[in-house]
Amino acid sequence: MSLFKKVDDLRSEFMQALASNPALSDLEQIRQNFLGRKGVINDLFKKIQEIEADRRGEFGGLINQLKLDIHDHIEARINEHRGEEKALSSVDVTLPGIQVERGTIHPIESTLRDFKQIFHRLGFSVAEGPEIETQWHNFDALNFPPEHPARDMQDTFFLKNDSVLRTHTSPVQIRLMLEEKPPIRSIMPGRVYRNEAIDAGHYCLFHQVEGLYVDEHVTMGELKATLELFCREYFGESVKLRFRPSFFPFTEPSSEMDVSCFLCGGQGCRVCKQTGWLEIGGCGMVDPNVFKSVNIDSEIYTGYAFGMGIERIAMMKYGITDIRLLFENDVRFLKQF
Amino acid sequence: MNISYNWLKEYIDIDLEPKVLAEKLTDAGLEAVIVETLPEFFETIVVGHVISREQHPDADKLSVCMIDLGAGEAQQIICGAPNIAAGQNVPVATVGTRFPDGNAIKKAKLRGVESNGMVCSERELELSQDHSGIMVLDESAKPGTNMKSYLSGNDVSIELDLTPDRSDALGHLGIARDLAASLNLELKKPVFEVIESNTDTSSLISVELEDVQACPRYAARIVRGVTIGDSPSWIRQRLQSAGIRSINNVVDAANYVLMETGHPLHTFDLRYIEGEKIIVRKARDKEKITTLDGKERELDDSVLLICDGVKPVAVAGIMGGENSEVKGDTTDLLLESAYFDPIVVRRGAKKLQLATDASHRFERGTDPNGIPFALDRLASLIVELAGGEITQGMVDAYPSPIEPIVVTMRAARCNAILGTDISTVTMSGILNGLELFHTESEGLFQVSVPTFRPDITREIDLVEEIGRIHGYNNIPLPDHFRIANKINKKTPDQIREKIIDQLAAIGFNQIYGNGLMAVEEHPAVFGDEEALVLANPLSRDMASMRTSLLMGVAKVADYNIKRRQVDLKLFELGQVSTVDLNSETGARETSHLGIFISGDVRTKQWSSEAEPATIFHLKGFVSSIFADLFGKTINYKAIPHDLFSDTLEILMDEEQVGVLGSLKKIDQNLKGLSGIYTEIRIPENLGLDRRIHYQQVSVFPVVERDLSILIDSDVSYENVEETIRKNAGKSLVYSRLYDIYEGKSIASGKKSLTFRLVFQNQQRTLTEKEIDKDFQRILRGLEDAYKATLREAIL
Ligand SMILES: [Zn+2]
Repeated sequence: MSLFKKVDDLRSEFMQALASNPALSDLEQIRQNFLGRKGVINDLFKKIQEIEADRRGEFGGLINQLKLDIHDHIEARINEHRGEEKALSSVDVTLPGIQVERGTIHPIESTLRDFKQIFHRLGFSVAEGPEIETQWHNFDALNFPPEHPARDMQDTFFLKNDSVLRTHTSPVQIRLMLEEKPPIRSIMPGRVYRNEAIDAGHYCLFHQVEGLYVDEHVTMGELKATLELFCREYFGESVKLRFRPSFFPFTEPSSEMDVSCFLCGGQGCRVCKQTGWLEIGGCGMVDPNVFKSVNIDSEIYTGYAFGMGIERIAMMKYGITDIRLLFENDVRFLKQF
Repeated sequence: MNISYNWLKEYIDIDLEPKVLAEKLTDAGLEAVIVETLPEFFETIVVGHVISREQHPDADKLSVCMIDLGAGEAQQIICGAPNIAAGQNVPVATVGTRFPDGNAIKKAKLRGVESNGMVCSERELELSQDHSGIMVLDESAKPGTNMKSYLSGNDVSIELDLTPDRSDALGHLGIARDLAASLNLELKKPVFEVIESNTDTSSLISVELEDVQACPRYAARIVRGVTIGDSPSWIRQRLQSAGIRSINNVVDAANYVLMETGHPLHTFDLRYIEGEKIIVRKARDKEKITTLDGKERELDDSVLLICDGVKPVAVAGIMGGENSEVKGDTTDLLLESAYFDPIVVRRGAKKLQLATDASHRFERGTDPNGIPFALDRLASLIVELAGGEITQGMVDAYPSPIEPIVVTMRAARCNAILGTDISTVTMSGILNGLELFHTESEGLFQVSVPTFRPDITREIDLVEEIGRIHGYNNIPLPDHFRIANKINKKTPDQIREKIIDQLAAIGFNQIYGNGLMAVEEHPAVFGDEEALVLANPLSRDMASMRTSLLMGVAKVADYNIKRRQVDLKLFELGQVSTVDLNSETGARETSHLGIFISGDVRTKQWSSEAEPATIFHLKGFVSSIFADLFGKTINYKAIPHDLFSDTLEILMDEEQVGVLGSLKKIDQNLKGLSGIYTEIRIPENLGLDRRIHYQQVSVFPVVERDLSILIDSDVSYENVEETIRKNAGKSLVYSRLYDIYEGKSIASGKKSLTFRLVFQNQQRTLTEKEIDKDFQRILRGLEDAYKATLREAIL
């Protein structure tokens, strides 16, 4: 019986020898060791006399099969090696890969998408509204009194028919609250216009993302937590957030939000004007007068709203120092994103 | 607005570094940063004491001075000013000073005499326009002192960016009040004495209010026998930190009280006030006044005037008149402290296009009940600085006093909105700190809101005060979020994202263009565009809303091609708008997709040739997006077009949605631009209802046959393809044109078209015989319709 086992052992021994991926010269040596006249298979074959007569045929068959298999394996390996040699000699594999033109998504768009993705996860849907707005939607419904100095803060483009190019995405809040009953939990991205001279820091238009949550028992604490989670996901876990009391006609209490400067880590640098903070947007609790203009009972519902400038944040993130680059669309610029 | 750190400390005992103080102010909603009010070159300007002055041996107008600069030996400095004299203290720009105009102070010889610095005039130091002589400093100034500390008294200037609602914080006292509340400290109001003479003020002046709505209160005092002169350095230094230039002791006193209380005051030279009275009235149409800045201004009834018995003497709340200005020889003063309606001042300032420190504050709302305090403070300060005596009593026209209002706040509501658990005791403390005095019972606050806080009228305004002073950053964060139990509908932005992704995936660069353009530049892409025109454009270039994306995309293409980026694949997906009188905004807005290609769509590589851009590339892209992605039937129809050659109209489900063609001349400025362009109006509900139904993949083999025909050159592909499809029978899966040939070896007027026909059956393997039958039927169809002949068939 041990001779039968020896056949199996030899087979494993051979497969092991092949597994080490032998070179062409080594393969020849392996062939000699196993199949040569003085090879191990021949040696084994000589011991056929030790087997009981009725099993000698079986034993011979096994050894023959082993010889054939070894032969085939070695031939196959030799062919592989020859094939490699051939390929290496005929093709210059150092030629450059065939170029594939990759397209690009504009940095404003990709920044917006990052925002959407995070807010989606937090249960915000997307709502949109027109770029050309009535003054009622853009100002009055948002609690801007007709002669209040707050209107100075936004230099507005007017159309000849008295409509305005929206100065913020907040009128979408108004449209949404008129259309739907609470709970409302949406972000509102879009393009807005300001009548300001164009320079490195200002353009006559930019993009905002506004957020709105109206429901029972909405608190300023929730607003802060939502924005903090957003900022830590978007800017990095170690970012710090600061809320500063501010003033917007459509929120009360109102706040600005700053993130710790990710360039200097809050130590103060040129980008953050030595303050260690970068302003990223405004937020607050929806003013009861806004609820009144859309017929939502502010005794039952409260809500928060926030808004951020996409260009501003994209510029911070990508280190772009001139907003005009975003609208110039030089392909050498675009292809970097 | 700039404030002085030292000045603020007058009203509150703080021991905070300026930087920390600025953070505290910011946390309370008064955004503060520390600023330098003096330019950088002041670093090397020091106080010098003129020890001696001698005539320059070779120049009449030059003096040779020995000046003590505090440290080291006295320096010899040549000076050309007529007023320099021994014994003076003067500002000296030392060697190494570099002025903003590029002028640098070096060791130099002037007409053979060495000079080691320069004595400066006020203009040279950018302090005023005065260049009549050098600036002469206080006798007490110490040589060697840096001019920065000389001018500011080692103060720090803090710049505040105030929100428009906080009129109470437009003076140091108001700011100190916020700080006192935040830091739980005591506010120390200024203490002063008003010593009056026996003469009754009302015997010298009376006040008439013609428009009580516009001017609810006007109070006046008289100070007689003052001496106009320079202010002491402590006032000058504080004003300097607050960014206000010192003028004379009386004007400085008014500015000082303005910056202290936030209440604007005005001083008249009493000798020019005629008729012993002040009348406050609306200006008459075309009435004129020359204001303090020397400009004659024509008025109308939107402007409120302060008049004497004869003439206007000031524009109320905005600027005084030149005719009653305080001058060097003024001795008797009429002091004004009044309250004007914010809207009236705002309209007036707009009409005169004039914004002043006074109008800024009146527009935001001053305190009608703070008037006597400010007036007394001013009178007392003037006497302190300029001498004179205050006559007895103030004339105070205040026919209907404005009372503080009472606002109710529920403590529970406050906590519910903020998400806090602030005790009523803490709330009460915050309110007291802000001088919002109140009663409280079972969590219900009755707050008497003083008139210096016109921004507080509702419960929510008080909630903000509690939140602000408690500190927004101290509001705790909940551990969990609530998500609305509501379906988020599919929105068009998701469809737009798909289109953008698809185009980016096949090598296109997305662009973002300006939505504004010149009125005369609108290209008629669809022919029905009517542009919305702006009433107040920034410039001619941006005077209307874009009606299509073409001009913006073309300009971007041109910009890039001029910079040798010629192989372009660009697209923009954005809103355009046109006039629509039926909409509430007067506009109809649509999403458009503009795609532009030029040069080669594939550049030459070692493995393949270049592939120049053609209209067929865009056709392919358009079909791939709208047919494959959204399952729409896309058809094209050749049309004539002014802007394009080889133009196609794009039909989606039989409706015209776009045009596609090769750009002709679209604008004078873009003459050289060539490329292929398509613009598509994205239908509003595109793709929102798209459902994909899986089609079982046939397990039976596909059979391919090539069909090559000769046909008249003028027969269109579309017709041939249709004939193939009609005659093919059910087994033809698709036909694909893969070769067109015209030229040698083919009869003239003919072309050869080669199609690959792909046959397959869902139920069984097709036999050779069946395919032959289909093939022959197709061929016969083409023969019958267009006399096509078989060129060769590769079976
Ligand atoms: Zn920084």
